[in-house]
Amino acid sequence: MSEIETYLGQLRSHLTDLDARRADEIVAEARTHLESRAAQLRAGGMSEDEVNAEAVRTFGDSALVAGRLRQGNQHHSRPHSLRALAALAVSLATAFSLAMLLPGVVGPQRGGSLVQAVQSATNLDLSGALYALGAVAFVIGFVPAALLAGFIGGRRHWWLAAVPGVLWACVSVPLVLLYAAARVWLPYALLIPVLASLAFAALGWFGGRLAEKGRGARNVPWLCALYALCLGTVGLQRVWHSLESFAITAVVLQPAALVALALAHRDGRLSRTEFSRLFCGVAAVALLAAGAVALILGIVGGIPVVGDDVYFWLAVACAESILALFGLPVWRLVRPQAEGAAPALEGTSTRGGR
Amino acid sequence: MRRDTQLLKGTVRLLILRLLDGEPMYGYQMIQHLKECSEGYFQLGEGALYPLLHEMEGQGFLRARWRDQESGRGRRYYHLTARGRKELAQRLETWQGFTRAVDLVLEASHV
Repeated sequence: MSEIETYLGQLRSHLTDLDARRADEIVAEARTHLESRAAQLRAGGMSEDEVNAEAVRTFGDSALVAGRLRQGNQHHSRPHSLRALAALAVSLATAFSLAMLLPGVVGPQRGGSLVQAVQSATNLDLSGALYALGAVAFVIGFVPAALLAGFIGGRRHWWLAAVPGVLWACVSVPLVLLYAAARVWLPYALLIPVLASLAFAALGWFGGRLAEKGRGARNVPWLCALYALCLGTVGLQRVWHSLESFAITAVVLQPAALVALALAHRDGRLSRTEFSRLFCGVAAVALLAAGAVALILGIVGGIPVVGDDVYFWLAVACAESILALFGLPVWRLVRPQAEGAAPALEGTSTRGGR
Repeated sequence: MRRDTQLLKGTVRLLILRLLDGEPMYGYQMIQHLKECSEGYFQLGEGALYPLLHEMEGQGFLRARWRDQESGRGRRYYHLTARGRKELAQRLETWQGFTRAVDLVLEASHV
């Protein structure tokens, strides 16, 4: 890799606070400048190594230049509050889901089948050890979420990954104190959440560092969409018997997926054609699935376990799909200039900046 | 000749607006043009020029557009907006008033 490319990579890594598309555009502009400067120096008789070194030197220190560029491009800054909110949502939603799924964290009624199976197999009373078992399972289960929350939070908000651990410590100590029989567990009730908080913070920091390095931060919308899909799938499996939950999941996940695609297109990671295909594909699949379920229910003539609300949610899912399918061409008609600008950029140096 | 960087900082926006009043230009071209026109006096650093151009773009004084080149790479050309022209007129007026006042004082001090 030439010195210019290395320099541009460093410059790009310092611009993660900016909108990804804008940052790529800045790097592309810097590339054309450096190449022009290098060509001029080359014509003056300098060697290739000297040319690259001199071009980079006159452009200035990458961190310093990036700092100035961030100042000059504040109108293109990523909304930090949204990133913080997304990191917090990932942390708390995962913690809540784990607390509901794992045994012993909120009580033996959750994960009851696992507890009953272990109890019947070992013939032991697990009520005391259940807390420790649930706590360890919670910490292990939360590791990917802490990394992801730190990744989304980035340099400024990586610490949000530790919030569930801190809340856990704040909540568990008074709860243990309330029950005399559980006081023997007090050191663990305090120690485990504190250690967990520290571990989550460390993982969050590591995730934040990963986001800073290279171009990872641009994948945040994809990661959020994937995460929502995973949570939705877990939720769906927990209530698999309910068609209503299927319809509600479709209603929630469909717009989330469409928004993620739109964000990816806006950031320049999807071309106009790719975006159109994926956008229409998602809407069409959701429409077909919801329509097919509604049709089958209509033909069968009603199933006793199906509530009346399922028709409402299926109708909402269909309406969303139809709105998306018809809304996209209408939006393009209304805003032809904004749409037309993207291919022009892609055809030149912006693409080359990636 | 000794260069006053503080004076340059105060006037560089005016110079950029004036440069772009004639024709759209890209960053490298602006640096070269300024250097040539001022006989080497204004040697604007790239690290200072682009942040300033982007800031002025954000303020609505400039608009940028990529144009393809025969060599294959595109260049980002900046051109003045209507708001930029107004800003240029105001800055020119301020500058001319300032230089006239300074000249008057300097001439009066000589007498």
